[in-house]
This record gives sequence, structure tokens and C-alpha cells, in this order.
Amino acid sequence: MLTLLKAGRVYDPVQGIDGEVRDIWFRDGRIVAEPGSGTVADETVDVSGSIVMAGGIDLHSHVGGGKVNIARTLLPPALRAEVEERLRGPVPTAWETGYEYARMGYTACFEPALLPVNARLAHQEMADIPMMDKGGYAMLGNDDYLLGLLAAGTDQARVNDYVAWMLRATRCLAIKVVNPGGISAFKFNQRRMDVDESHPHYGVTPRQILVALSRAVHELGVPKPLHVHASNLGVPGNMNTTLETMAAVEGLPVHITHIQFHSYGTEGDRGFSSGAAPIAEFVNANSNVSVDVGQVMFGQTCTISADTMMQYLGHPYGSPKRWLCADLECEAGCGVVPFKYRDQSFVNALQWSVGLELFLGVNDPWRIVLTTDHPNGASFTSYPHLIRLLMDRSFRNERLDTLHPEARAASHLASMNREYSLYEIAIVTRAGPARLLGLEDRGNLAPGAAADIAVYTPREDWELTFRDATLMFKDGRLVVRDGQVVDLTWGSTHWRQTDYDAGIERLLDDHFQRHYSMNVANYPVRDEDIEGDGRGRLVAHACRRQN
Amino acid sequence: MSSLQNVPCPFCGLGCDDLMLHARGAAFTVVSGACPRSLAGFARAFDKPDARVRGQPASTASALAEAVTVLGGARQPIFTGLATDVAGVRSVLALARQCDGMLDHLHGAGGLQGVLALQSSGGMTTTLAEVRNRADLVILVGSSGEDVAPRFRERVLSHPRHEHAGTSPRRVFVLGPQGLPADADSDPAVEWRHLACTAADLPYAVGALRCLVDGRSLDPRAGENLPMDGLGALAARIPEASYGAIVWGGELIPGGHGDLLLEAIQTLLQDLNAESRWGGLAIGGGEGGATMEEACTWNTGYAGRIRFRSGEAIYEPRLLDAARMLERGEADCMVWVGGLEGDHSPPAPDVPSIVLAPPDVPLGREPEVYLPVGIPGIDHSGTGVRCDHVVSLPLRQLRKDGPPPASQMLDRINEGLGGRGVSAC
Repeated sequence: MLTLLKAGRVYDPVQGIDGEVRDIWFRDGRIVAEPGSGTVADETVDVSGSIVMAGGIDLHSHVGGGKVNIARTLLPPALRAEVEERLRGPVPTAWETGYEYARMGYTACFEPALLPVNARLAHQEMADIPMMDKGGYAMLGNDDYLLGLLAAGTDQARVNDYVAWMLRATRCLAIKVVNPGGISAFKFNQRRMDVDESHPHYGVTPRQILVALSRAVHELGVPKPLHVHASNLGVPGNMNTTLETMAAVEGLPVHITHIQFHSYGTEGDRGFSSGAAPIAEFVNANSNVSVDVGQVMFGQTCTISADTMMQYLGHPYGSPKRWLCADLECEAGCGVVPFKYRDQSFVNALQWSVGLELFLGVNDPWRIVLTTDHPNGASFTSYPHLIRLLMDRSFRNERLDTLHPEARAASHLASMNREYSLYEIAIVTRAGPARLLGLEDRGNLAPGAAADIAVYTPREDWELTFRDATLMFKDGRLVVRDGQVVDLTWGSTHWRQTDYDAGIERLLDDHFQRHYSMNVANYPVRDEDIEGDGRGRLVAHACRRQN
Repeated sequence: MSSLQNVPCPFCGLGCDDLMLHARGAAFTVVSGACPRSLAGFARAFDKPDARVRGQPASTASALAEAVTVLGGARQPIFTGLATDVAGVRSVLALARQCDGMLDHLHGAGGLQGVLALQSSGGMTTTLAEVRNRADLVILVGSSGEDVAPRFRERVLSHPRHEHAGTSPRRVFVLGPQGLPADADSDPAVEWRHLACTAADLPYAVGALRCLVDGRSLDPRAGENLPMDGLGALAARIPEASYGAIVWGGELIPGGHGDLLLEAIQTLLQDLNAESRWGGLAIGGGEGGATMEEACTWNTGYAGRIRFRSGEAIYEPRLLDAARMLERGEADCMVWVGGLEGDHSPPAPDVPSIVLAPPDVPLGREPEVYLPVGIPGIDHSGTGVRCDHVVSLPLRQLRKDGPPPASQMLDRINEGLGGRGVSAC
């Protein structure tokens, strides 16, 4: 069926289209070039006056894996209803996740902390998220196998084989490292770890882990830069750690995630200050670095992280007082701590401000992505509010005026005049993340791209505009009308395929026999594990190998 | 004789996946990696079974039609058993939602005790490989390990630790009425010690241990029935451990509040981690219990014991007890969803019942509708979740022509009731 979206104001930064009135044609789930004159669409939808963008893409959102179920258990829906005005978040079910993203015009979300040994189950959970495309980033860098390789001084080629094998076994799209070496060090009862501190057993440093993994990702040709959750999350003064982390990769592509939580100084009477300016300055000066923000919003949420070291440290600040940390299968860990951000808390108010300072201080929108690190900073359902904060300076300053007065005084935010344009919003919510992920047929509306399309009607303010998509098409199918889901569809699971020397399997077999509680033969995710119930399909993307 | 390597075993929460099987007709002999449960489970084979309606052989289509009629006429149906794979859980959730049903796994409150403890205090947990590689001190509470997961000792406790964790024998304390393994005294890998007390005294024993660890004084009368010497020795070992684990099995206090005992254990673990590293591990979760908890949580927000009303899931962990409700007539229809029920048989209630189970599962009374279903991991492939809720097993289809998966039958009943076959929970 040929569909015509007629005369919308199109924002497609990939094609450089900035609000021009254009027609968008699509057929069989794909955008097509405007057919010759005389061709009549089977269906024409008049979207004149409306904003047309590609479907939104969230490249960092905790939507799958055992840690999310722990968060659901700690904050069950009955309790959520007490603390939230609406039953939106903070830790929705798989079904609610799909519905809530879809109504905002999002069409893809990516789980950034997929524990490799948990991959099968995490994918099956994500397979129950309707409407969305999805994928995972396999977590490495705290697993005994890689730490052992690095301790033994193994050459980079073998590290690359291991990373390539893991991508295939876990059906993941990218590689992530969380508190490099620190989660493992915590199992040896070490409580803190900085970039050049040695692991208590393996002797390797976070810097060595960052270099090895970023090289592997680069040399294997995985488009998505290494996804880095840096050391010292949430600690006053961690901006120095973050600057060192960004410098550690020696110019290779690197993505620092939820950088808001890593941009703190120690100035002021309270020993806690914004480090956003030097961080943004570094990002601006180093084109190999991309970031997402992890914006904090006020209210009840639940923090979910693989970073057991820092989650254990932070548990006394949790609310309500029930929390869990876990050591996981000699690969990593997880910590789940419910948290309530309060606008009258100096620290929380300054965190809010730091996030916005980063959004406004990083000049190149292609290298900064809109996230709340769902649900850590806030639920993804707060994105429309966040978009308004970015686009509407007077609204932002009004909100700033209501916060803890000392935090207000410590913030540079009031002096920042920048307002995001719709074009920039289209970059930080779709075109930019698609480019970072290397998904060429998503995040844009060029012929050949997937017909993932969001249509918004301008309303009194930007929050209302982006709250409910007027129309949303997933792979060409209308699934949302006026903010309501009208049809059910299943997205695809994207993963990154590359080859490796089969010798790595013999080495892993030996390692598994000695240290794992399962067999290497049963470790890889089978296609049927994801596609078996008829919910979505796997899409393999090729790597662009460098050597 | 054809042999199958590295076969995952679906029968208990330990999730061993190193079995070697020989095919023997339609059945299998476990020749390596065996335990009593896997030997019995893989030896099961069925003749071509028929569906039945009120005891009479029936075509699958007519049995499904009767199931639709029975379920369609029920106002308070309860789905129990729930001993199935991820696909089966998805399907039973969709069907229960379609007919405003209630759900309770066959392990009921015992299965949910861990969830209830988390919802009260949270905890600190660990997994099989962590315990195997790291733990130099293990406290088994209310279980010898083997009684719940036959190969726990072999796969975890007796296995050498990682080279970084030393080579001294692992210290294992068993707290509860369970005895030690017969050859415990001559075990080179494990230094066993039994702290005997009754199951009913477990909460007091854990409380006493807590007092000893905290250096608080304890009224001597409180310790009268408790192995105080052994608890004292254990308390002295705790600060020496480089990595400790507390391990428990299924329902900790039969018919009692195992969740409260578990909360005491979890808060102890949380506090021990201020100084050194500890984690808790449940080794129950068999009969599809862990699978049900995981898939039910991501679909509904709750691990089990829910009822659906107008599509919303309502959580009633204390009230929603399938056995009690069927006994008291608080449900007017029972649907048993099996495949992995092992030795557990469906209840024989006075209300109309629909049983989906492998053909050799004994039935207390003939149900209104019987539908044969296969065993996940033998008759069809699927996913099963291990006791630590982290690792899942790629269950394989080992033979053809067996009964269909429970999920297929549930989806067809749902279609008959007008459902969409998907669970928009």
C-alpha cells in the first residue's frame, strides 16, 4: 500500500531538512521517493501544519534484563500508583514500556547494560515490548575472562575475537563497560576505584580496560563507540575521573553515558558543585567523544545499575528503604536502589541543573543524546518535559527559580540563553542516536529508510506537543493516533554481526568448564529464543572492519 | 546408539546443562551428569495420547471446544500448576487476562517468599558461579542443598574455587533439621558442620546468629533449643570469610511465614556487606517457578499470585492460595498448566477443571477436559529460568511426535474465547 503524508513540516537532519513543507511517501514499511506525477496514493493523510520527524530513538534506557524485574519487584505497580500521579513509570512493565514510548512518537529503545549470561532472558523480555525496535549492549570489562586476558598481557587480536564472539553469542548491537574493573573489584571487597588504580587481584587498571575495549570495538568495525559508564558515578569531584576516562581512549571513538552523574566538582561550602563547564569544554574540543546526559527529574524513581560498587555506596540515600545488590556469574553485578529526587534538596536540584548545563554547553547536537538514563534520572515518560526545558528558556528559568536556593546560586543555568530548535531536537532524539548506533535506515526519512514516522501537532507549549504523537507509524503501520495506541505491532531486534577466529571457542570452552556454571555450548542466544513466539525478528547488521 | 551432549535439564532450579543422554526408544538414559530427578524425568515416554472430555477420548479440537465452554462459563477461574516455560507463561497470562482469571504457581507462597522479603527489605544476592568460584564460607539454611537440588554439592560446593579464592576446604554450615551427606566426614573439598534445629526454630536460630554477629547479649533461655555452640563457632568464622554465602531452598517454614525469616536473612546479608562481601542464593525455583516469576514480572509487574480484573493485574500474595481457594470453593474452575510439574499432581477439586499435563501425570479425579502437553526440554524447545533468576537454559526438543507445548493449547483456548493470543498486560 502506498501512503502519502501530505504537506507536513519535516525535520530530518540527516537530509538537512529543517522544517520545510514536504510530502513523505511510503510503501511496504519503507519510505519511497516521490513517485512520478499521476501516481495516486492508496491513502493520503493531510498533515499540513504538523511536525513530521522520524520515530524517536532512545539509545540508553533500561528496558530489559533481570535488574529491571528486581526494580519492578521493589516498586510494584500498587506502590507506584501511590507515588505517581499517573501509572506511568518509574519502572513500567514491558507492555507499558512499548505503549508509553509509542505514544510519544518513539519507535526504538536500547538496553545498555545487557549482562551477557542473561542475554537470552533479556531479549525475551524485550520481545514483549510491543511496537519498539530494540537491541542490547553487552557488558564486558568486569568479567573474569577479559580481566584474566588483560592481566596475562594477551594481544589485542584475542581480545577482539572475544568481543566479536560475545556480540554474536548475546545478539548485541554494541559493547558497554560499567565502572571498568570496579564491579569485579567490589567482589574482592574493594570499595572505590579510580582510572589508574589497580584491580586487587588482576592488577589491571580501568584505563587498560578502556583502551582494550575501545580498540576492540574500533578494530572490529562496530559503528557504535564503546559505551562507557565511567568510574566514580555520583561522587563529588568525579569530573576529574570523567575527564581522564575520556582522555584514556587516546582519540578512539568513545561514548560516555549518563554524563550528568559524572560531572560533579567539589567547590562551595557543601563540597558539591557543577563540573558541567569543563566537561562540555572537553567534549567540544574532542570530536571522538559523544555523550548522553542522564537528566534528573524530580519525583520517585528507581535507580538500576550494574555498578554494584557505587550502588552499594549509595544505598543509604535510597527511598523507600529497600534495595538490592547482586554479584552476577563472574561477569558483572547489579544494584537496584529506589530513589526520590527532591527539588528542595541542594544536591538533587544541582544534579538537575548540571544535566541542563551539559545539554546547553555541548555545541554539537550530533554528539549529545537526550536521555534520562531511564529510570535512573527519571522515567523516559518525562522526555516531553525535558524537551520543553531545552526549547523554552523562560520556562527553564521559572523552574530554576523554584529550586533549592543555594543550588540555584551555584548553577550557571540562568546565564545560559541557548534554546534548542526543533531541528536540534530531531538530532538529539533521533538522527544523532541512529548515527551513533550505525543504523542507517532509522532516524531519518530518506527514501529507503524504515517508515518509522512521528507526527506532532504544535500546541501551547512543547511539552504538550511532544507528549502525545498525533500519528505514529511503525514500519509503515499506523499504531498511534492522538496519543492512543490503535494497533499492536512488534519491532525488530538489531544486532551487530562480525567474525572471529574459531580458536577463541576452544579457549572459552576451557574457561567455562573451570569457572562457569553453564556450558559454552548452551550460552549463545538462539534465533528462536527471540523470534520463536512470533514477536518481532532479528536484524543482523554487518561491521565495518578496520583491519 | 545416538548420544546427545550438553543437554540442559529442565527438572529443578539448578539448571544443569552438562547431561549426556542415550536415546532408548522414545525415552532417554542419562549416562553422564545424572541425578535422581533427571534419571526419572528423561526416562519418561508416552504412547500417542488422546485428549479426553469427561474421561472419553476426544479429538484435540473437540477437547479445546469443551475447554472454551467450561472456562467461558466460569466467573472465578484459577490457573495453577504453571509449571511451564517462558512461552507457556506468556500464553497463560494472556488467557487469564482474557477470562478475568487468578494465577498461583504450584509452589505458591513458598515460591513467593523471596519476592515478599525483597518487597520488605531488599537484599544482597549472588549466583551459582559466584558461590562456586568465590565462597569460602557457605551457610545452608533449612536445606542440605542436595535435598532441593541434587547436584548442588557436586556442581557448586565441592567444585574448586577460582585460583584467586584459595584452596582451603570450603566451610559449609547446615542449619536446620537436614542431616549432612553420608560421606561428609571424608569430603576433601568441604569442611561440613551440622547445626541441628527444627524448621520451626529456624527463625530463632537466625535471630541468635544475628545477636552473636552483632556482639549483643542473648537471654540464655532463648537459646535452649538452639545449637548455640555451633552458632557461636559460625559467628566466629563470619569475619574471617573473604566471600560468604547464605543459601536456602524452597518453602523455609512449611505453612509459615518463610518470607519473614528470609527478610531477617536478607537484612543480615545487607549489614554484613558493610565490612566484607556476602550474598544470598535461593536454590529452589524448580517446576518452572523461577520462569514463572521472571516472565510474570516483566509482563504484569508482579511475580505471581495475581488476579485480573478488566485487564488490570491485582496483586494478592497472601490471599491468593490456589489449594485453599479450591478447597473452600472460592474458585469455580481450575486450569492446571503443567509440563514441568514433576512429582506434583493437579488438585482434584469439586469444581470443573481443565488439565494440561503430560500423559503420565497421575490425576486425582478425571477432569472435565484433559489435554496432553509435552515436557519442555524433551518434547519441545523453550526457555527455562534457573534458580538464581539470571541464567536461562535453551531447552531443546529431543524427540518428535510428542504432545504439543502447553502454550499452543492455551493460545487456542484463548482464541476460542475471542482473545488476541497476546497478553497486553
